[in-house]
Amino acid sequence: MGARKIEEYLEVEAQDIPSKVSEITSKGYQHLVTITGLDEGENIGLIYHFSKPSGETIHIKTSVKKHGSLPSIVDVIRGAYIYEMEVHDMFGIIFDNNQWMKYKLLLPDCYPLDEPPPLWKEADPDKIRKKLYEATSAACTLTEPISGTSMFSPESVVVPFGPYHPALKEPEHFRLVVEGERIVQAIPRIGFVHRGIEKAAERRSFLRDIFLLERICGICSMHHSWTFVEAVEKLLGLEIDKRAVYIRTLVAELERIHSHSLWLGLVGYWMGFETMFMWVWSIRENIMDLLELIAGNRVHKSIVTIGGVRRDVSDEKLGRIKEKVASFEKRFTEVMDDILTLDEFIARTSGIGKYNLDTARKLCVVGPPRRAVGDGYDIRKIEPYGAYEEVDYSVITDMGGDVYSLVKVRMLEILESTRIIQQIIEKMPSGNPVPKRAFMGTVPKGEAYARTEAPRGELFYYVSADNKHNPSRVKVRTPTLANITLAAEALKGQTLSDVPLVITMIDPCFSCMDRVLVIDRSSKSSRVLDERYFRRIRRKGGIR
Amino acid sequence: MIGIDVLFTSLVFPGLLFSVAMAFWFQYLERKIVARIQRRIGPLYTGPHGLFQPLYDFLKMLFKEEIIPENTDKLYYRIAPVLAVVIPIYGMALIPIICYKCALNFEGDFLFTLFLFSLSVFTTAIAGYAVYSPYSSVGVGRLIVQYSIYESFLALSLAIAALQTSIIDFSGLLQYQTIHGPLVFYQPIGFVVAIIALIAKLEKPPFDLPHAKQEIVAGWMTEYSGRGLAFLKLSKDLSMVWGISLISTVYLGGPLGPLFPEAGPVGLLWFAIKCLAISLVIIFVRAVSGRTRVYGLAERLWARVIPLVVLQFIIAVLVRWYM
Amino acid sequence: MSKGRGGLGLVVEAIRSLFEKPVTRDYPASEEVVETIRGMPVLHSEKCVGCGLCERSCPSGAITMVVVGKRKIGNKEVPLRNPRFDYFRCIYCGICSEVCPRGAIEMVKKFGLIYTSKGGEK
Repeated sequence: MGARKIEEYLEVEAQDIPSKVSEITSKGYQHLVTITGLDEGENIGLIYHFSKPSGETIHIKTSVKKHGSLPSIVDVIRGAYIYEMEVHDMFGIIFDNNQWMKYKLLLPDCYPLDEPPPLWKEADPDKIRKKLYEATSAACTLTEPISGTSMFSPESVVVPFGPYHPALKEPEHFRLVVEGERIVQAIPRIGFVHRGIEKAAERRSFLRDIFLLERICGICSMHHSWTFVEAVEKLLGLEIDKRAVYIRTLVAELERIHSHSLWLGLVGYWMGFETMFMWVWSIRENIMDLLELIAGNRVHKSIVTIGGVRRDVSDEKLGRIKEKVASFEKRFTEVMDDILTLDEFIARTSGIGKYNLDTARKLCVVGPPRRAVGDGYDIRKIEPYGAYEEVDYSVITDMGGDVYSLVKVRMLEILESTRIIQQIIEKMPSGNPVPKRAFMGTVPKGEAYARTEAPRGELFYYVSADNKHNPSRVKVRTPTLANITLAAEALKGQTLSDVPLVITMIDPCFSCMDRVLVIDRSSKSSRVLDERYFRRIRRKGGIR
Repeated sequence: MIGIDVLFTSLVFPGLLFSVAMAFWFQYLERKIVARIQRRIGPLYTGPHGLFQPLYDFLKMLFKEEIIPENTDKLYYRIAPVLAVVIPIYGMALIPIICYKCALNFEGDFLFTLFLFSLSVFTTAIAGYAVYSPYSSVGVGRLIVQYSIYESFLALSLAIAALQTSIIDFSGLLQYQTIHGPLVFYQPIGFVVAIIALIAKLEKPPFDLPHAKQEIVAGWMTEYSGRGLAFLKLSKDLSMVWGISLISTVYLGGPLGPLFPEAGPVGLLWFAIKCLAISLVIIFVRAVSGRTRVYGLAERLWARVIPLVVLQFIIAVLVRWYM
Repeated sequence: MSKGRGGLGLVVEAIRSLFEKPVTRDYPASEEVVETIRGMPVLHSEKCVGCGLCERSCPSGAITMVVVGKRKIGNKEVPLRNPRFDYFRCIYCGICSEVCPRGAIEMVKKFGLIYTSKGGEK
């Protein structure tokens, strides 16, 4: 039911991984969810999670010596390169035959070479931070040359896109190799907002982790905390009160509406159509008011806790929610109908960023981009969780595979969500959704995973506990990580002026590490702005 | 010795002070109306209902640090904003607002204005090229593409106005319109085309490609900060004032109306009303449009507008023939 | 999806928005307090027994226990600790209030945490 304890693994030798993976994919497990790394003392354990379109999952486990290497599975599943890059950065494992190994994905280039990779148990965050402060190399991220590839002709020009750009909500970097106006290849580099959350989660208790993990993303924050809590509840073997399940589903659907309408407003913004942006967001304010009514906060709702929810929703409030959602739907359809039939809008979005089903499958794309090419991959139907089995809704698909069909898919999903919410409110059972005490205990030894359909796609959590107050490993695979390969692929052949639209069609929400480096040319020094710096200037009353 | 009336016209009214004040007023109007259309409030706190906001923004930017990238041509970098401001002010000083022939008018000043129009675009091109940055270069490239497209029919529609009246100075135009009524009755197409061209010149949506915020940072204005940026932004608003004044003088008769020219300053009132009307149209179009793509620009403008201009040309010739 | 009016609809909508009230509100002229906000933690020290559960459960580590006096347990005198809140680290989640066994922490709804540049509190 959306989450399961992992009872058994397929144990495989490291060298046999590619052949085993081909065997598994031919049996139907074509979707690679992610590759989890674990520090097991002497070795690094690797778990490959696969899933079938009908919902079954299978997990392959292997282990490699520290600083070791194993063959890559990129030839079998093309989309695996990004997960292998992540494991390579975080654990130091090398994947042979993966041509991306020489690029770093998440870590800065000035990562100290004498420190262990970040997610080893012996890596000490304070020590690493200190060494990074002293790293004087100003070229912390962006000077890697693109050499050794024969596809780039002498006329290609490399246009750097990001990390600072008004078009992007969050910093990311694409190296665009451009010939004339057309893009030949795009190489992504992320990690500008990396906060080391997986490492931080190992040092905090389960209850504190809920608050940490919900702050991975502000837009789908409740889905993060819900997925984590589902995995923990499976480890504890807890039964959740029905009303709590319904309330969680209600908030999740409201979050989906708010996330999709945020994205729709942003599409207008990136097209240069600021008025559309403002109008859609002003309608979205009604949903934010509802979220504040239920949970007390608009962004980090903190309503999920282990065992249930933290607050109950009274029936009178439910009535108000129903009315407001109905009026939101009416207003929203009015405005969007007008905009979708605008010639300019259609010209600006049709045919842009076109990709097909085959590419989506090979790159293991999730969420609306997968559904916009006709594949109905929605975790709510495949591996139901929450109250989704008891409400009636359909999965929206479209055949277009470009920005226009993504707009259609997301808009129709908003309307489906309003239907789901009406049904939930009608069917809401009575009960006591708030657990009596906050959970401050230990979790018995075990491993569990959980998947939910966040607004952007499939969100995957792997939690491993060891009879302690803290989890021993939390692995998060956000949907944007899976989809960024699609953005890099879809950018080929587009023109420079479509770049923001194509990158944002996957609805990116980057969650990684954050640090600000100030390079002072006059005194030839560099320093990092950290919390102490900001407290100091706060006391002095302003930034000098 | 420069006459006191010349000094007054060029520095106070309608020259420097008046134009700058009008530039701030139009900027305020635009921000407030666009904000209301977008269901926001717009400027509110500085001055009554935020009236002084553009002035405060300008003053604040004058005090900000100017960061000049390394490989810049320092001479052009410094000169371009100043030139960009001076040209519209001079253009404004030529426009008759409360008299038939003000202090700086001369024979052929209408023609001269057309020349000034082209010149002002080149100052922005210089501003963009002075900096060695990919964003600026792309912005200037788009600016020149857009210029080459709209310049043709802006100049053509103004030329057609001159053709019908067979006059090339402002005082003559005003006299013609006193006798025959505002030119817009004979040349409505030319009026509309001139407004479209003005929107393209001012880089307002739907024609704001050159400084497309979402795609190329700020286009040709990217590397400017502090005083340079303050002046460039002011020059944008001044161009708006100048363009609107020009169109209302040529097509709507400028200060013409009841009680003019007996009570001179009344002309200012009529002039203000006509300018306000045109500015409201431009602001409204700006608020409801998205940006046109590079590839659609030529098709939209040339394919649809040039036939109309040709039609207008024929009408103007016929009108002149029979009048 | 099929009955949109295209450009004309936009113009109508624009005129309508021009005359309706804006959605944004100006602060602090129209300040409202929503009853459902979680609020800011405030200690009632007479109820506190110094157990330290709040410090252990705070997600962001904003609570430190400091010695404020002494109390008697049995015949011994031990130092009495009370929590001190760092409101810049606090995430206003309310967990401390939930776990406190004596209910000594109250989440206060109406509060102002705006600082002007001169360091004053509004």
